[in-house]
Amino acid sequence: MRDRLLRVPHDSPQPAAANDPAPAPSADDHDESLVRWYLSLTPAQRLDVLNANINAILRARAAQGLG
Amino acid sequence: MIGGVAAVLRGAPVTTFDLDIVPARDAANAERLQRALAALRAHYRGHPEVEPTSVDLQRPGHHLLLTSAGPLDVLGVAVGERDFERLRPCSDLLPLGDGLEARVLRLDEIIAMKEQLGRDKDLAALPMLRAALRLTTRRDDDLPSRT
Repeated sequence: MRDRLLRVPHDSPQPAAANDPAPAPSADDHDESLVRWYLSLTPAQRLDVLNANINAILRARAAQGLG
Repeated sequence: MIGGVAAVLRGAPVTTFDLDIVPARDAANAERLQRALAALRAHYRGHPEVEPTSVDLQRPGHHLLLTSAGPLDVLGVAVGERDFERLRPCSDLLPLGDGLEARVLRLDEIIAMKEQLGRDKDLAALPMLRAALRLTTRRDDDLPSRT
C-alpha cells in the first residue's frame, strides 16, 4: 500500500436544534451510517482509511510500550 | 484478494493487519509471484531465513509470510476448497488509483467464507460485512468494476 494524502469526504450533519425531537440512534443506525460513509469512498480512499487506522493503532501500541 | 482487505475495498469498514490472496498456481504465475515476493523480501513468519519458492507456491497449502510491506498470507486453497479458478467468477477487478487494479472477491463470497471459517474474529466481522452487502445491493450502483 502506498502512502497517500488522506482526502476523504466526510458527512457533516448539522447539529440538531434544541427542540429537535431527533430519535437517539441505535447501534444498528450507527453501523449503517458508518457503512454508508465508507461506501461513499473509492476503493483507494478506503485503503487510505485502513492505513490510517493501522498506523494509529501501531502508534498507540508503541506509546504504551507494546510495539 | 480475499479476507479483510478485500472486505475493506468492497466498502465494509473493518480493520485488518494482513493481506490474504489466493493466486493462480500454474507454473508461470507462481514464477511471477515468487519474483514479486522476493522484491518484497518475503519470508515465512517466524522463519526469517526461509523464503517461498515458485515450487512452494504451486502447492495448495498456506504460506504465512512477512514482507517489507507487511504480513501477507498466500493461500493455495482457501476454506471450502476454494482455489483461484473457483473464486475468479466471484471477483472483479477494482481500481486502486494510479492505474493499478486488483482482482477482489465480492462481498457475498467473503461473507460465505467467513461463515464457513466460523472463528471468533470472522463472526465478529459479519454484521458489518452484511450491512455493507445490504446497502450495496440496495444502492444498486456498485463501484465501476470489470470481470
